[in-house]
Amino acid sequence: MSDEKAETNNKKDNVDTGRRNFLKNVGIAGASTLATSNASASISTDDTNPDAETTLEEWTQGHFVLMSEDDKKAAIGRLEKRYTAQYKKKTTVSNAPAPEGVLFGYALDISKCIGCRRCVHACVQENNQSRTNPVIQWIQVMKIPKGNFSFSADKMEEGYPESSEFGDHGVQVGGNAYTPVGGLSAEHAQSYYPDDEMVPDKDYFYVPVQCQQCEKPPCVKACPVRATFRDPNGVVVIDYNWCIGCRMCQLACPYQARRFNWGEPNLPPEEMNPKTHYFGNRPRMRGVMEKCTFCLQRTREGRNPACLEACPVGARKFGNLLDPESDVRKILAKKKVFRFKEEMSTYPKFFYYIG
Amino acid sequence: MTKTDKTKRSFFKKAAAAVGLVAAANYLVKFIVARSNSIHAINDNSANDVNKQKNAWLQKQFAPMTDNDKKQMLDEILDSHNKNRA
Repeated sequence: MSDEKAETNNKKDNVDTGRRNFLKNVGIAGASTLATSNASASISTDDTNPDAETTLEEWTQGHFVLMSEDDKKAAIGRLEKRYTAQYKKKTTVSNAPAPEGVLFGYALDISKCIGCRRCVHACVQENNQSRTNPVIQWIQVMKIPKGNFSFSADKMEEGYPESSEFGDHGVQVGGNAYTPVGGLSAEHAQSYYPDDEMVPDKDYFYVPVQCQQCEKPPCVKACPVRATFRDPNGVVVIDYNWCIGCRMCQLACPYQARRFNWGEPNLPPEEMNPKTHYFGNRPRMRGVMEKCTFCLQRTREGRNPACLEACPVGARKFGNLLDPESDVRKILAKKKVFRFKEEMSTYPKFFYYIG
Repeated sequence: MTKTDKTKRSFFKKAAAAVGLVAAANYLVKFIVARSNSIHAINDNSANDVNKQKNAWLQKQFAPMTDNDKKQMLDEILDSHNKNRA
């Protein structure tokens, strides 16, 4: 009996040793695989390798805004090296700060827009958007029948609470409550009209739509990791390296102005704009969100957005909302400006007007 | 001796089952990734995003603003900006 017990214990020990050995071997194999892959990623800093410097450091880097100056410099250095290798041209990634005392606003004259879509193409080129599979465009031009527009100027000031013989109770009577002042409805609008279509069609308005740069952006509130935020100039930007691609911001955006990189973006090296900004037009990767930034890489240097420069009819105006003498403030003061009826207190800083 | 064989057999059985499970899971993941990686799927998803934007805008109505509306809106934007900067 005791012999039998001893034999069993002996066999048990043998089994334990076997398991230990097995686990040991698995551990060694796993560790060596990890070490090899890490080493190969770290070693591959050759300039001809597109994945050069895509190291553990980049994967583990923090939110750019919270990084130290040294870390920011290192992160930008890594990106510049990678983009230069990938697109075979000297690429710069700027970290120019937002200028002080500026709140950017944009105004678009829908009576002037001819629907030529030069703004769309200029935006794609400037901001390194994916050209094919998938095509990503931050601006979409809507073609709205002119019949959708109605407006009576004499009713503009009607519809506010009036005093009556029964006293001033703040009750709205008449005016806009019953006979709306009118406006423009986007019903029956089209967006996919062919590029070679003759424009403008006299029966249509053309309304380019893009990120509205809300002052109170719902997308920012929805982001669980604060990868998207409002910069000091009021522009909503994204830290592409911090974005986890959950698309909550896309769901929250009432204008559906955000674009998700469902696949690896296709940006031909010869068409790549090498002058980039970390929060702006640097090439994005698969699985992250992107959107209009008012061409942050240009506006932070005192230049106008590319869409504005490309517009052949001067329908687009851009400026500082804090400056009463800016184009945008003058438009707000003097022109017929529209707001969205369904605006959900987001306070867009992109205004549509009729000049 | 019979007991040891049984233990070994059950160990290998479990190991084989585990390997099979991992292989099946791997195959499934690869299948799903391959499907989502297909150009067709990527283009469909991207076109869907654009359509969502179009549909969102189809429901929009632009209403003209009075001078009061414009002043209120600008005040709100500037207030909000100043609060953010403070």
